[in-house]
Amino acid sequence: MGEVTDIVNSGVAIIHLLANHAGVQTVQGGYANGFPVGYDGNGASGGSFKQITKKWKQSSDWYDFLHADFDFTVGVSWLWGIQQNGSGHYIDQITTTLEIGYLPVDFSVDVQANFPQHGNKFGTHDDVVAGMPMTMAITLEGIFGQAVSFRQQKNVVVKGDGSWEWPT
Amino acid sequence: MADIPADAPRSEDGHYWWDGSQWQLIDQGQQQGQQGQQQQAQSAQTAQQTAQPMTDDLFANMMQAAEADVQEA
Repeated sequence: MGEVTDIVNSGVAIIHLLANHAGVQTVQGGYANGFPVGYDGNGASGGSFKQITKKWKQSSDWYDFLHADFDFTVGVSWLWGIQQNGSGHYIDQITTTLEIGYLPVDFSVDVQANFPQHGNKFGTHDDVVAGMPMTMAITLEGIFGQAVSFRQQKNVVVKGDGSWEWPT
Repeated sequence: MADIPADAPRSEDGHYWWDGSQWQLIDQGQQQGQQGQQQQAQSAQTAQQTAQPMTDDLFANMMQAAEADVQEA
């Protein structure tokens, strides 16, 4: 097999999810991927799904007026370990997930993942492991006596060997 | 059994309260129940008194405390 010159994402660039107490709405959905340049995944073999999640949950006593109760989980799932002609560890169907356990009526959660067109190469020359970084922005907005908001942005990486990075 | 008024005089040994005409025996369960209610009311009152306007910084601290580590599903 020839040298893998680059890892590219031929899927979506943005996944955008929005939720309130009534449920989750997909503003912009789809999948990103990480394949060798010029390869569209046709004829790929193997692979396993993995999901990583991060949860925010708070429940307080009825007389506690200093805290708002909420329960939501943000995640990333992807198919890893895909081989092209029996070689490499590539990734496909990378997407973002949002599950709502509980949100107050006046609260909303916004999750947006931005994917680049080019990913990263890990592994060895003969056994390339694809990596796809994404910028994950999570925003919680609500009315808590007055309008408040919380925003967290992290650079998350998922890889073709099933490993991942999500900074604390 | 009648509720004991909060300002009702009590005997030195704590077993009786004065209803204005005679001493009444304080039921232990009644006493504990009233104490529990008073504690809950005090907690709520304390929370209200110490409540300060919610700011984005306070909200961020609350979110940080509620945040769990990333887990593989």
